[in-house]
Amino acid sequence: MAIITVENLTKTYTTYKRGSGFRETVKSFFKREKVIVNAVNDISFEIPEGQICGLLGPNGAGKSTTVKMLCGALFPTSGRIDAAGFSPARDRKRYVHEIGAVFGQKSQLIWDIPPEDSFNLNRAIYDIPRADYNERLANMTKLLDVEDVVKKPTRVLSLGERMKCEFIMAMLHAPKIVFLDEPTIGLDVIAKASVRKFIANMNKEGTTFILTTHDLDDVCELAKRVIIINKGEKVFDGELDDLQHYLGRKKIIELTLSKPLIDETGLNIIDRQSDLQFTIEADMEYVSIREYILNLSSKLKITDISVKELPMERIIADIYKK
Amino acid sequence: MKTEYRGESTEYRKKRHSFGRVYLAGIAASMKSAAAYRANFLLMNLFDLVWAVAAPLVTILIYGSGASFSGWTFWEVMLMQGLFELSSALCAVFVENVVWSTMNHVREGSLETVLLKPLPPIFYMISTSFRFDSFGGLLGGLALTIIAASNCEVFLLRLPLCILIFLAGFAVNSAAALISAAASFKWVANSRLSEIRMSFENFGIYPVKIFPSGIRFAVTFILPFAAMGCFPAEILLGRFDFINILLIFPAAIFLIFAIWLYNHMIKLYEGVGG
Amino acid sequence: MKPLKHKIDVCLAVAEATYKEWAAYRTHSMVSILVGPVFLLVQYFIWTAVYGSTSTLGGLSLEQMIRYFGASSLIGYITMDFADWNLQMLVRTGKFLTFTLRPIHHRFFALSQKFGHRVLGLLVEFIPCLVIFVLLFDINMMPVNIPLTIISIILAFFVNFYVNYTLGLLGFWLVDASGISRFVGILTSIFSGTLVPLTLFPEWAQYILLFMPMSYMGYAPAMIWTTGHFTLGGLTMDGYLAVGLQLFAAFIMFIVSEIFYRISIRRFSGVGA
Repeated sequence: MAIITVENLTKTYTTYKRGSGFRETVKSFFKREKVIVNAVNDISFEIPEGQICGLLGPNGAGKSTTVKMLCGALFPTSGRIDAAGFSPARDRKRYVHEIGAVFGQKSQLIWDIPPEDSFNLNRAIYDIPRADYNERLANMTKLLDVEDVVKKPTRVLSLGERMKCEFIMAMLHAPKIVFLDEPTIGLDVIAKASVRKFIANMNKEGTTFILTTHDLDDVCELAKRVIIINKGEKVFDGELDDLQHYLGRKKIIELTLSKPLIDETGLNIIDRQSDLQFTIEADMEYVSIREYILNLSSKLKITDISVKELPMERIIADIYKK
Repeated sequence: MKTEYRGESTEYRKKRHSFGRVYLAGIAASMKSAAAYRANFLLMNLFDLVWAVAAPLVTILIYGSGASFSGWTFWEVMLMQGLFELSSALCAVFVENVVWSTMNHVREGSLETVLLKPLPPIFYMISTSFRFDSFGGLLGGLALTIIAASNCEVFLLRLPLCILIFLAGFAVNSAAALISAAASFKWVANSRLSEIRMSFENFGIYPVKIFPSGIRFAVTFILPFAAMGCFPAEILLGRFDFINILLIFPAAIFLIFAIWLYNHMIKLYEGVGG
Repeated sequence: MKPLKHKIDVCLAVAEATYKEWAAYRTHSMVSILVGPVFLLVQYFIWTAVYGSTSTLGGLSLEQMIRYFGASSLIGYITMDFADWNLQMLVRTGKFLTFTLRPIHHRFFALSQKFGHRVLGLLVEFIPCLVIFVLLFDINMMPVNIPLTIISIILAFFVNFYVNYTLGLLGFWLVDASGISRFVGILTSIFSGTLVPLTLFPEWAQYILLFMPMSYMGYAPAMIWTTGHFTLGGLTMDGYLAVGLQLFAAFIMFIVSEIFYRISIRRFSGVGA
């Protein structure tokens, strides 16, 4: 069952051209040039309950505008959103009980006091019954291994400890949908792994996650489904595995030769480590991999060969460029 | 650690001739950043100008209600307050910002970048703390002083003595600002440190004779805040008690102490950092 | 009854967290214990000198004048806040977004914060300074009418808050609203009677101030504390009537902040944009 349904979502901004100089600033008081920006343009998708969905896109693609509309912080210009049975912006006060959010760069914790006290604040704000609160808090602090950390003032915590506490802060009221924006930014490998494990765990219990990030490892390890937005439009929507085939069936082949290469025709060389070592990209759309390698070995003296999938970074970068 | 520091200080001596150039560069940088936020810069100056006019408001209202400080005409008190404004604005433009920059450096742990510079830290801090957006106060104070002086009988021949005492007052206030800055090493992020200094400034705005002899002695010979406005005005008006010239000694000692204290706090900080 | 209980619960939790937050910096607030008495000391000598030539000024005797300044600075410790600066900071850093995701009106949150913050002010500023004024300076700080003075201070607390919160909303409209905030702050400190009782102003100015919220932010409670009544623009009012006016001012400022909040949130969430 879909927990979020988005139909023909559009957001346009009207901004005004602003000069940089003093004279132009004064001038702009009287006559302003309108500029209409299509931040999000006619996007539709559905997210089933209990999914982890990655929302990707380059900076300024309309990702965060979309997330803000899904959170209810921004009214859509047109189109319809149904999330957990609410229209987010219109039913904001009731809707926000159902959602939580972790914004990597916007802390909800109060700097000078222990996270525990900040949690208590949210207990009151969300009107969480004491028993539920205590149980969830005990659960999550154990899962994230921060039982002692939550008693220290936030300002003395490491970035990783703080981020874990941000997760607890966002999830104490057992939201159905949780929005994550760059949740692992700046964290070390161990903290990243622990945060990802936590997300996977909470997801198993039924929480839906919407994840926006630039960290592709986050996506690969967590999300099954990916939506890619570029220039305000949806350019890809599907399983992570399908993304591999999105650009055709390309493979990366690393070769080590015993004799230097003479004839380069027909080879798409993307990296040349030395005269004897090459990386080539090959399209498997029209030839099978068996034929391709047979063909290669007839032409070249190969001592070592390895065939790999296109790395995620390449795929995403190629999609952004389109 | 210590010997290294001394080694650096001989380095300072060699470079003393370039201090002037560094200071000018600091002023230029401050001017550029003021220019980048032109609207804000104009606004800030306007506020300081308005504030300079508002500060003597209490006196204006007192005299407007028919009351007075005995022995002082309205314009005589205005002359005193104009001189005070001028002294206070000079401190705001040249010194006071050291408190804020020190506080920010300590809080963000970026003081190391200052210590890396081939200059005495206190000099670097002062030359980068020049504040263009307090010029409004300077203009306001100057205007008030000139207008008030043209409405009183002033002894212009005593101007050199007036300037000497005025500078002593400026030194005292600057020293107090440096001590606040030094205190911010220990008392991190306290935005209210300046308020303590400002509360003492109050003893320089009004005729010192209104205070009982104990306080009068304290603000003349211990912490001569009265040299900010009251004494320079008394000199120009020809009613100065010349024994009070002696205040230049405590003023000088206070300034030297403040510079020593600031440097000492930096040394302690280096000790912690190293 | 459930919603009210929930509101009180939220308010107490926010106030408690804010109290703890600021308690870490209580030594900063304690600067007032030095600054407040020095200020009053200077005022004491200024006005003693000025009253040498007259027996009443602006309708106040010397004793009342000193008490007025004592009351005025003490009331400041209860009513001051950073609501404007705080909201502008939240908008500028984008953190305001996290408040739109919580089921609570931000103004209510900010008001609860002010409760917590000012309880701390009561403990580390108001009470120590009152003790110094009374015991060390031997000033008669006894309010003429204690319950009325307390009510008046509480109302001034609200007027201050709504005015500052409205200023904070400017953050939604201007890139840097700190300049305007500071300017209004200066005007407020002049026209709320912290420098000098408003009765010393020319009468036409007093008449205008009668219709300004500033008069009800500091001057009204200080006058009620000092004299039991309220004088402005040639009118002398009974303390009860003055408190009524304060209530009216608080209500007007609440309405103003609510209207401006709605317009600003519309802008923030882009309705009809």
